[in-house]
Amino acid sequence: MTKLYRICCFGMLFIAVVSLAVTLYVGVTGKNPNSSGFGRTAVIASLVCMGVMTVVCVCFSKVREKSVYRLGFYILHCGVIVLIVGFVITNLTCRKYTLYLESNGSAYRTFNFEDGASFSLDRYMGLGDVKTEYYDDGNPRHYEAKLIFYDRAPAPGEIAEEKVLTVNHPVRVEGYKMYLMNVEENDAGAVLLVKYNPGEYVIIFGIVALLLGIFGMCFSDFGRGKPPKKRKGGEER
Amino acid sequence: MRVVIVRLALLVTALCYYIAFAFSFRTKRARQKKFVRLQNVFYTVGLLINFGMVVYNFVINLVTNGVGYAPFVSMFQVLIFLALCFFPVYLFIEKVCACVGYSRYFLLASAVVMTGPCFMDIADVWTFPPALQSVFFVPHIVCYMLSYSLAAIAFMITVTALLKGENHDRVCVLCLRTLFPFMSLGMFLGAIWADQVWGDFWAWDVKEGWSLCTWLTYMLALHFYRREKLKRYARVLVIAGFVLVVITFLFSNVFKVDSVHSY
Repeated sequence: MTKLYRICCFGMLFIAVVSLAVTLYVGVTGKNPNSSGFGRTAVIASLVCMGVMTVVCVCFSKVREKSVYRLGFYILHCGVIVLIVGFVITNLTCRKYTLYLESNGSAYRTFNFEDGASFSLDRYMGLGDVKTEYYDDGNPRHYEAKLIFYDRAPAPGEIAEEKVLTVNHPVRVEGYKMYLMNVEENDAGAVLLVKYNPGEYVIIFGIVALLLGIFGMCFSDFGRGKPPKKRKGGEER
Repeated sequence: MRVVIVRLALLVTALCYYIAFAFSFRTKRARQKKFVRLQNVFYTVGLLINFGMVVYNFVINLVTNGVGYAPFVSMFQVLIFLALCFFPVYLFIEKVCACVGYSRYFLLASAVVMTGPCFMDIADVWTFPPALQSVFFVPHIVCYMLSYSLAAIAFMITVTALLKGENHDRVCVLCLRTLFPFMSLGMFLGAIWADQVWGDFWAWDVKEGWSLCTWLTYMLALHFYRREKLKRYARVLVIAGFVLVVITFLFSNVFKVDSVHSY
């Protein structure tokens, strides 16, 4: 048992060294490891190894501490496994499209890209007003763009649903998440990132479980090892 | 005039922390009470000025930017806040965890951190790009500051223990058990924020990479502390963890690397 625990600990140490190597690689080359097939495979392999070691840790560890600690232990490690599953799903299935829309009243249902990729919506989507504010030194302070949705091909003066898109507040449309990435200087258009990620909720669930578990484990049983209180006469309880 | 007063306040604060640290070394029993009182007086004065500086930074942000930004808009403001973070951490370790006699580490850490802003450009302010205007900004930084302050304490205690051949594992584990939740919260809030703003939970940014290494190191240290035979490795990991904290905290800002975290 102790040997297995030791193997897992040193296995995790190996993964920490790998992550350090990746960080140095990213720092020197400026390349994202996910941008190459090899890097992506290495990341997934590391995640799977970490998941396996976590499963081993959960299955073979004997937790002798109090119930909150024990509960935290299981929630935390299950959270890690869920998080890893979420990241693997994201790595394998996430699709991203960078989209440029002009605020000239036109709207589209299907969006085709140069690399052959495309995605479709049930409704027509167009870009409304774009707003930008700047600081006195010329740096951007606020971006905002309106997305307009029509049930059919847009006609002049037609009332449609509007959604305001700002940085930090993406909009969810038919399973796609849309982000405002940039706007044109004269507010004539905006660059959007459209993302379809089935693993998103799995990751968030994993994060919540992981954090709950960590707080449960680390903030329970703090009194353990406290020096015993003394009575008036100096005798220990 | 304002700059001179601020500079003076910073110097007095750092000096108070250093003097309180000097009084924390109590050799003769007869002078012990007096030394404790003096230590507390200097620490309290330092804390009050430090707190005043944080409030001043908040007011300055309000006046300059017209928005009540939290006082974290430059490395100068972040360091002043970090110096103050050692106080709640000290209270927690001493009062809640009943680890008495470690005040000197907190005093020294506060003093060293407070020395930085004394030599920094007071007027330097990061403009807040739209990406930073998020509800996650303040909790992300506060969590990291608390965890960094605990990392510094754990590091100092471990180094002292190694040099003197003493065993301070209990307080070191308590520091780790307090810093790890805050570090995790800071990291995962950052991940959720990154998903909101850039569409990726994890983008392998340089600072993200270093923070992951730091997180993994402390996670391993906590695991290693659970087994008697692995404790010596745990101590090495605590020291390595703090080195990684320093790199994470300062690397992208000092060397101005291409990172979303260097503003």
